[in-house]
Amino acid sequence: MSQDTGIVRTVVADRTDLEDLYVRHVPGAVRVASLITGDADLAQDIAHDAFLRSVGRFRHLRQPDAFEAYLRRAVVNACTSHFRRRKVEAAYLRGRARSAAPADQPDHGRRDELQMALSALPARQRAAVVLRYYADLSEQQAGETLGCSAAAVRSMVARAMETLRERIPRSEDT
Amino acid sequence: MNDLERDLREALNQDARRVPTPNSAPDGLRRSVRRRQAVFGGLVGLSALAIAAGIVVGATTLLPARSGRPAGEGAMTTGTLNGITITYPTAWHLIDPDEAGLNGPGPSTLPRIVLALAPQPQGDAFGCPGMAGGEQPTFLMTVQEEPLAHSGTGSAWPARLEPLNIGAAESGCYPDWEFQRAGWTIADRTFEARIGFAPDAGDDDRDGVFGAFASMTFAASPDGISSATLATGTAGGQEWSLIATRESDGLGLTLQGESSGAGVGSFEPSPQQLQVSSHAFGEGPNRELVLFGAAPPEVVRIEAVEASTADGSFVSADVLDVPNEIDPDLNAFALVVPSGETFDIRGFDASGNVVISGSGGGGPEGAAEPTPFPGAALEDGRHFGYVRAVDMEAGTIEFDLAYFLSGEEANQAYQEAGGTGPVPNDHFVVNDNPMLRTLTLALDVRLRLLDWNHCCDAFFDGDLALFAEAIWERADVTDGDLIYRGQSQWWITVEKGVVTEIEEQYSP
Repeated sequence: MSQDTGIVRTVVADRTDLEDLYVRHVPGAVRVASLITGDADLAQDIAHDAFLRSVGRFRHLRQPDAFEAYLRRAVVNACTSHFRRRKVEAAYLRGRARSAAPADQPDHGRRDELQMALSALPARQRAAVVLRYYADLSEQQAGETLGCSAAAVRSMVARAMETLRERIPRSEDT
Repeated sequence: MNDLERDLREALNQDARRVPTPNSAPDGLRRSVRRRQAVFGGLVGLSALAIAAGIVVGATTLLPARSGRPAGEGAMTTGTLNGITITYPTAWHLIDPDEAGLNGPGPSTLPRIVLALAPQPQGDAFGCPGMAGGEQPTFLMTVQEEPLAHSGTGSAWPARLEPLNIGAAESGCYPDWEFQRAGWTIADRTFEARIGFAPDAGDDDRDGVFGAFASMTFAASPDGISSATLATGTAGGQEWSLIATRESDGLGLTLQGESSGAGVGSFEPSPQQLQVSSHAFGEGPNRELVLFGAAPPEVVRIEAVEASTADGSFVSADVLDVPNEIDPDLNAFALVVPSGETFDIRGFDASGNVVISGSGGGGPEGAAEPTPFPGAALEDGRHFGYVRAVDMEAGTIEFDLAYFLSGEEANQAYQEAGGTGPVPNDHFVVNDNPMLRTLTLALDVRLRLLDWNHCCDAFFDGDLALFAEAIWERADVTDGDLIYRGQSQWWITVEKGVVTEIEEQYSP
């Protein structure tokens, strides 16, 4: 059978590996992208595109188990670049920040307020929070993903938490 | 974990569960990957190969200089790329990595691929052989130049190729390939070669590649030594390297870990204060800090003493020689110390006298307070200049230091600059150094902006996001009747290396 030949065997193995890689890593990447961008459709596009860009580059060959981290980094970069490219982030954030102000909004409950306040954070702060509190990365790992130091992650998260505390009431107040 | 953190985790997890995700790979995925790789083909394959590693067992471990001529039959040719001369079968292709786009855009900084050899032209051979249609290459070879392994730490040439196992994740591009690598230093340059053999590579391929590898001769770089690895060590369970680089505005030092690092640029000779930066490796109780920086040439040893203890415990190390071609006026140092402590750092001359001092480290574990951005910092105090950029997320500004002169000083500077008579408006700004300093903002940094509606001695406390927007746009941004000027002059107050206040300077 021709499948015993080297080339055919290789092709079959490739497809299996590639699809397996996709199913294992892309759903998680979509979730991270969605939490950062707040847009599920955009997140699908970003994660898929990041996968296509990541899979052939194989920088993770030096650390073969690092594909997930490499893909995550590509996704986070794509998310933050999305806002930067549009050059509307500042206006967007200002608008969201105002709309997220508790005084301007009906009481949706603490979780809704949290989600709204989270969406109003600057993109990299939002990414840092998602990586720390959703992906459960250490400051160092988050720094590797964001391309900055652990101290910068600490600073970003601290600023984000400070903003969130300002924008949402304490739980005992709710 | 406090209430906010707990609620945040729950909210994020709840959001994430609502996100629709694919449960299978889309049709045409492989085709999409191949199409994408056709675009990135050259870069993909060689970079991967240069970064990857692998191994072929036993065979030819050594890359002996086999008479400078590859084994194998047929006509041979010789080519030179980036100072490397290599002899290889005429049927093969010597590929310039820059022309093939293998190093990507940007400056030619090290590490950098300097030579590639393949049986086919790059468009066919490189990319992702395992997923490419058509004939697959039987081997690929790249040589990457690394920062010079300084102080004789590199292996000599001829070098020995050694097997290197790679994981399964790359099998899509290099299914069942075998890889070998070798590293060596010669002619004040350090190299690493990676050779990969496809499963159907024959003995002729192997003999030809090994012969070509062994035939290489090396010339010194016409640019001299531009980058060197000064030291390596372990901190927090991770290996690190300290790399010195010649930069346009002075010495640059990079502390490179396995998965993270810190870069510092623009070191300038300073007779008074050690220029210290740091980076932490590891987590929890294993976390350690590497203090590193530059020192003037008379310093031969560096000592770091815990500032909070009086028992005299310290860590010390000899300074690291920075090649003169990189910086003739500075050497470097690196010390591994416990994380979370503040250290007084002293530099000793050959006679054992303290000739310079500084401080480093500091901050309790997990502290949220910003730490000074490494390098190019400003002394504590008030400084005049221009804010060129604001990074809200990182909490930093790019600051262009200048000098605000008034009175006779301003008149003199004005006239030296070609002006005649007294300087207009009784002030003159001197900005003769283009260097930008990245400075960390305090969490509660105060922004005092001129209220142009009540000009010009009334200030209001500004919003950092609007300030950032104005600086980004280099244009005025208004918030009601308040104006954030995108192009103005500023006084910043630095305390403990962190910017605590930014105040606008009136200028008509």
